[in-house]
Amino acid sequence: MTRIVALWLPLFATDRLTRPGKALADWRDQPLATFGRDGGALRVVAANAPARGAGVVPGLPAADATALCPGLKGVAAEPEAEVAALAALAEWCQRWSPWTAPAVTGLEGDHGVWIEVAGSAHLFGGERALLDDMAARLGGLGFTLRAGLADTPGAAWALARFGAERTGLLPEGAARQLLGAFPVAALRLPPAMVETLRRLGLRRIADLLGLPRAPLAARFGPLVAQRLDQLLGRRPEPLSPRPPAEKPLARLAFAEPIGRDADVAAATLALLADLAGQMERRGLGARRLTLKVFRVDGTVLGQSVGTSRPVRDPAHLARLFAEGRAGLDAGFGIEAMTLAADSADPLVGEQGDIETRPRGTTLPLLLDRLTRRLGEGAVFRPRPLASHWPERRSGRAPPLAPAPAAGWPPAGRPPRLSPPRPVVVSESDGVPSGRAEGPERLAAEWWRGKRGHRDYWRIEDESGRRFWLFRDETGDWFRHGEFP
Amino acid sequence: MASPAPLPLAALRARLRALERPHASAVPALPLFAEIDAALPGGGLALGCLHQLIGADAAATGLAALIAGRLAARLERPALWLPAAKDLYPPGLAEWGLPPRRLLIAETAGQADRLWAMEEALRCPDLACVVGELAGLDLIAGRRLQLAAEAGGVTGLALHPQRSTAANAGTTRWRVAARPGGLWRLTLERCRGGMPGDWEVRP
Repeated sequence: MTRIVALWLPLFATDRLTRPGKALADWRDQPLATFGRDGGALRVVAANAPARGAGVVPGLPAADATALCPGLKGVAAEPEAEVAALAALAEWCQRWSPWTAPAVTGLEGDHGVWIEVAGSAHLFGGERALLDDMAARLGGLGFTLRAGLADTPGAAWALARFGAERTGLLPEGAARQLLGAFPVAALRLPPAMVETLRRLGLRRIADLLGLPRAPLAARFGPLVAQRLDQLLGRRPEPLSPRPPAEKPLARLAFAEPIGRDADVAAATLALLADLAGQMERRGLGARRLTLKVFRVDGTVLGQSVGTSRPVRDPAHLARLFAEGRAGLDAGFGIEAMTLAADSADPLVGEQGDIETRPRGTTLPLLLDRLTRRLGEGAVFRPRPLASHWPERRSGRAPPLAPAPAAGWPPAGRPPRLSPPRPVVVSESDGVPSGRAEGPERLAAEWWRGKRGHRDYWRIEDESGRRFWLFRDETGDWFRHGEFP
Repeated sequence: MASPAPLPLAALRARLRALERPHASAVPALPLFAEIDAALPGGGLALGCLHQLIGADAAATGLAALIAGRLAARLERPALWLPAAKDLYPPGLAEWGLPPRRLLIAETAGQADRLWAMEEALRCPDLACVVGELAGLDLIAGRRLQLAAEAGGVTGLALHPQRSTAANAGTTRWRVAARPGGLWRLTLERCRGGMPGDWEVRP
């Protein structure tokens, strides 16, 4: 059994701006109205309570409004911001139930929230306590509201707007008796239809309930009967709660199974173009994409691609997929393919210069291609490590990481370091003969439990080659590198 | 109708150069060593094309690091190095002019991957220089690298070991060896638009 709360926020557009803590909070008790262009004329879109008291109502031309109320403050109406704010409020209402949705009735300036509370009312001490809690909290936030709780969304909507109390509660199964006295406007019908019904003498819902359906439908269309059924619960009206942000997904199904590599490549490119359009509308760029291939024999193969920066460009992503396509066996044929962006980050489109090629965008793409073919971690930037021991002075950092501020202090090291190789050196008492420079003693890192030391020498032989040798604590000589 | 006045030789040379290499960067060639620059066309090492360095390990590495470091500093872009083995030592490279903030290293499994990576990197104008350690280079692969370097405007350095049989694919071909006293012996074996020569320089 569903129990739905309908919240009605009649002054949402202005309450949003004049709530405590918002920019226009001082205007809460002063006349304030939002203006918007309707056709060519500037008209009032919404007005707060003091403005309505002075006679400013939605639909009034702006000049008339300022004439009626000289101290009126006007701000521009922002429909998208209102929609976003209502969605955010619906999400905030999830404190009472996970099943909330902003109310989109299609009627002008009608802001509300649906909340399904059948499973959560007992947690707040019952339905009456729940309604009081909602009124108290939303009122504390600065919203003017009315609420209704009933079996169906239609009944709750009617109760919120036309009920006697500010927070009305309809017991289960009581919709027919108690709502019969409500006016026809409580059925969520267009104003023109409501006016026509009134002129025909059908002013209350009870009047409509007794009428035969066929003439009603012939005169007014199916909407009246639909709304009546929804009110009484005969026709289901499911709520769609706010869906979590879906991953961008593109699908392609083939009339006949494909198998040739060129066809798979073309299909991948088409999927990427579709996905790029979806991501551009949401301002996203892909970081990780998964291509799934559905074969005729019922098996599914997958291929994943990752990028270092958010990317939308189909051509670049197609090249990344091309690298690994050799391993994708079409079998007896591929009947469908899907492409999903598992991970996406915000990406704002950039306007490129007409003449010159955009700089700074090709290095990340090159790194993507190199990483794809050579493997993760194959491309890196050297990073100085805090150690004096030669083998442990250099680490790896991701290639696009910010460059290290300082390098290594100059210490006379060769550009290539091979593992130490034993070598024979003609020496006397630890000092090599011939042209030699040193010694430089490096003690092992005792704090890591290593022992011993190395005496490093730079030695030049007859042909002019210069080596970096060391003699360890046991007296053995090793060659560690060569200098240019 | 009067015939147009003949253009001076320098202007003709400039027009030819612009026609041959439309994507070449606007900066002039990179000066290397005073004695050598006089023999090179353009007064220094030509940018935006492929050069081959043959030599024993250390001396060729040092020269490559020197060239890459100067290019990276002048163009303020990183250099990419493709080593054949995991034996590059960045602290030593830093002393020869390649600090870590201007160096990227890409490790590859084999010569085929290294050739592919070098060609891809040469087409990326965000790099100053690409150094690839290639055991050998046949004519076709060398031509591809040269075209990629000209397309991207990136200078390519192909490092070959001492006894390699690499074909003549680059704009210049050098042989490097170490000499006593801390000197280098540089032999210019082949140079497009210049004469071969032999020098001893102090790096």
